[in-house]
Amino acid sequence: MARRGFTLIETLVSLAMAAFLISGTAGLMIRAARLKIKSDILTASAGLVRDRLARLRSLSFDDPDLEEGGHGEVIADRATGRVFRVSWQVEDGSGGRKAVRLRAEPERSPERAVEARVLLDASLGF
Amino acid sequence: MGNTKGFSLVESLLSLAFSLIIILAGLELFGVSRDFFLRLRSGSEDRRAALAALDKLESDIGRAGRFLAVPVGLGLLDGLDAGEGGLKIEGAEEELALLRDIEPGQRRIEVVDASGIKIGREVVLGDGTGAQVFRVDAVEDDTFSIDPAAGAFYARETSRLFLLTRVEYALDAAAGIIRRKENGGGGQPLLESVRLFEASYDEGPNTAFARLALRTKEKKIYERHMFPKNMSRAFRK
Repeated sequence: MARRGFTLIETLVSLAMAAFLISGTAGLMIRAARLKIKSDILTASAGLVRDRLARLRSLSFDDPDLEEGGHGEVIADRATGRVFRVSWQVEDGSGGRKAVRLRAEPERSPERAVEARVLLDASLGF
Repeated sequence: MGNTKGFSLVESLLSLAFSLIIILAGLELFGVSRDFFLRLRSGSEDRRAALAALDKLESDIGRAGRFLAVPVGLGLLDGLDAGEGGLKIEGAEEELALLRDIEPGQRRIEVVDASGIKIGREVVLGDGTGAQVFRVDAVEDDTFSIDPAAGAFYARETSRLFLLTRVEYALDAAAGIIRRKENGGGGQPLLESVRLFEASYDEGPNTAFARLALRTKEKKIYERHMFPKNMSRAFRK
């Protein structure tokens, strides 16, 4: 009686195909999760810049937080659970104007920072 | 007839069992990846909805006190008021061009175009020093009636008339819905599944602050400071 099972090659090929499928799906899941985290962090960085910008705009023109030079704070963002460093550099220009450069960066991945620049004018009255 | 031979019962059962295992494993893999992507999508949607609600609030707060420096300065209107019940934002929706001067005791006002005015809405009339808030109780063509009557003389050249808009935000705690009510209308749901909504306004530095959280497994809290520029003290008279 001619009995025959799978050959080693057939078994290895089928195993390789299954492994390829599983690793492809797992890789896709990992990539999607990473992209979501990256997107959340970038959104949070932009949100923190916007938040600090609103607070700086509300200050009087001669407030200590708007004095020429570097300023900064460390914030624990409760939407992402991460710690961010928010810093801003004030340049006192002529004619009652100040240029502010803001930057928010996650402590663990500073390459995902968001920057904004704003010009404050004393004549606006706020 | 050649030497033909079919599968034995044991072989058929074994192959069926193997096929079943492979199909079940495939389905499980599909299910796991589907759950994973759905969870990711749900998290993103929650986040996007919460941030969109804060954007809407910030946009409304940006209009708080717009063109209302005199009535806010005189204490006739709040402009922006935050309490435990929620948030109230008042601003000017549009300017209405007066056709003639307003005399003390006058109840009828003629404007160039009254198409945007509805009964029950409020208008604010003021010049550089005084202001009054009226309720519209009748509209006919480009003329409308106000209540109470004008309390002073308002010259057409120096006075400005604005249609007031009032937006209220409140959390319906039982249903977990933040509702946005415009000009006393029915409150439209702005955000659902809300666990926490707090808003405050600090007149000192002139900043508003909002904090909200959703009823999801992830205990995320979304916070934002906002700058109501039209509420600045420098604008009040």
